[in-house]
Amino acid sequence: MHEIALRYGEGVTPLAGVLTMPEQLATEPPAFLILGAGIVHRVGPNRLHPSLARALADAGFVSFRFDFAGFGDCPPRRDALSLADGVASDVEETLDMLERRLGVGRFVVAGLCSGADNALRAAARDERVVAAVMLDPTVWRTRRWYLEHYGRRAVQPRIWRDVLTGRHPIWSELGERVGSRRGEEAAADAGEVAPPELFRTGYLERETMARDLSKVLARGTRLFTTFTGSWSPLYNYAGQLFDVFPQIDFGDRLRLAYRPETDHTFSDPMQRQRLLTEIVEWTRASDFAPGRSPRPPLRSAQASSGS
Amino acid sequence: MIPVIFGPPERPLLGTYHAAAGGARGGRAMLLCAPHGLEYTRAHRALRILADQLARERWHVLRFDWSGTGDSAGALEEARVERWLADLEAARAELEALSGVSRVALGGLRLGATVAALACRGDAPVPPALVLWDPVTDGAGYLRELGGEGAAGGEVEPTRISNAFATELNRIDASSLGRGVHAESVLVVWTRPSVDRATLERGLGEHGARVDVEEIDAPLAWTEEHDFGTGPIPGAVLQRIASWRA
Repeated sequence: MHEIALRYGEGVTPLAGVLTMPEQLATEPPAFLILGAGIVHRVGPNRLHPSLARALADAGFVSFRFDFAGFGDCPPRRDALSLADGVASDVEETLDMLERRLGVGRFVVAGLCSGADNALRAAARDERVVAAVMLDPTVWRTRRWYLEHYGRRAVQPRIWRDVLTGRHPIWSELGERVGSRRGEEAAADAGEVAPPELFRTGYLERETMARDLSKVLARGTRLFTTFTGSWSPLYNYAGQLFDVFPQIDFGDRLRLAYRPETDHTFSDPMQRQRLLTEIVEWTRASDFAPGRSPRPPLRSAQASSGS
Repeated sequence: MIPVIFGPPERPLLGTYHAAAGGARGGRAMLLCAPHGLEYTRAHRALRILADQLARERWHVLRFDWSGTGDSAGALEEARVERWLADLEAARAELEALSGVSRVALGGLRLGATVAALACRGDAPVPPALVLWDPVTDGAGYLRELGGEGAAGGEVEPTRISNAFATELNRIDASSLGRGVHAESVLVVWTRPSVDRATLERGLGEHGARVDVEEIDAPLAWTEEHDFGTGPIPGAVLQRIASWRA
């Protein structure tokens, strides 16, 4: 395995990333594109992205991780694109660069959190993306979520004791909601800045996500989706995704896992290794769509770093 | 910003080079040494912005990831102060080659600052300037702090410290850290109170270095802001460091 640092996109907005090359390529593999999560740079939370890249390389798969314009080691955008459009543009430009450099016409786009949503969006926009790895993507509560959530608590005597004695967090949450509404008004009056926009580039509407899911599945795109225990405020039972999107026939194109014992960044070494192994095995076993015929490479993938 | 991979082939390191404004080779160069673990992730933005500001002040700058961190090779469990000192020397050589500057200044944040100071002892090259931004001066206390984060529950990255690394960290204290440091001038920036600072500052000046000390009321760049996984940008600190006349 060896890695090459690349800088590209000089004509518009410079981008930079790390290409991880296996010593021996698997037969006709897709290449992986690993997207950033939130405003954390390309290494990802808890070094998730290099871990994934190197595990893929050990299995014969190429990968590339990069910073969106204005984040990590990339300077701010030079065009006037919005953040959401800028992210889409950066993904497309990166896929173009990899297609030319590697002579590959099929990609798996992977991401955590907002990166997961952007991976699905990339698949919906670009037929070269034959699969998406989505770790803790946007999801919505279902009726059963509430049953699971409150049902588990209803059988715990301690919970009832705390509610009746006023010590349960629900009382302070209720107070905060009342207070926060007033607080939000005060913050708005004071001109306080909302959290970074990047945290709002995830899917805001279920219908939009459903549309993208339907589009990619109709094209034969494969999906690897995992929800962790950290997502329990939104997702708390295996198979919830099917209830969120009952109108969608995922068929055999979705590999769905629910890992309540795992945290959002897969920080536990064993859980991390399990995830990496699952992604590699899924990649090896998947019958990916053909993508499109790659454009001829401009040069060998062994080009020097920084170019 | 130019990404570069350097160092020994068996353990490559990744860095980002910021050429000095104007593009000319020569002049001034500074190696920026990152913190460790979660602090590395949180402070990444702040250090990038600092590097940009230094570059505008006509410093050539190289930021890099220690072995076992970020995009560099190796596992976090393999981290050692001794290995990081070797990483620093590789990064110093890389910056000299990139910039054409033969004497490179050193700077760092938290444990990065501590290692930068350690790299100024003994027979090591004497840097023209040394910037220590909230250096870790109590290794045992730092370990307790990491253990506290790990014990806090929720989504915290377990900072996996090997016994060997813990032994090295336990040896770090303000008295031994400051003594023996050779640099022509030193800037120490404190944004968090340190009971050891007087001891450190006294030691830094023992060999005739000009020692400037700044206590700045600013957010802690290595702490998490709003659950974003990244830290705040202490503009006043970055401005002070970038404008410091070493």
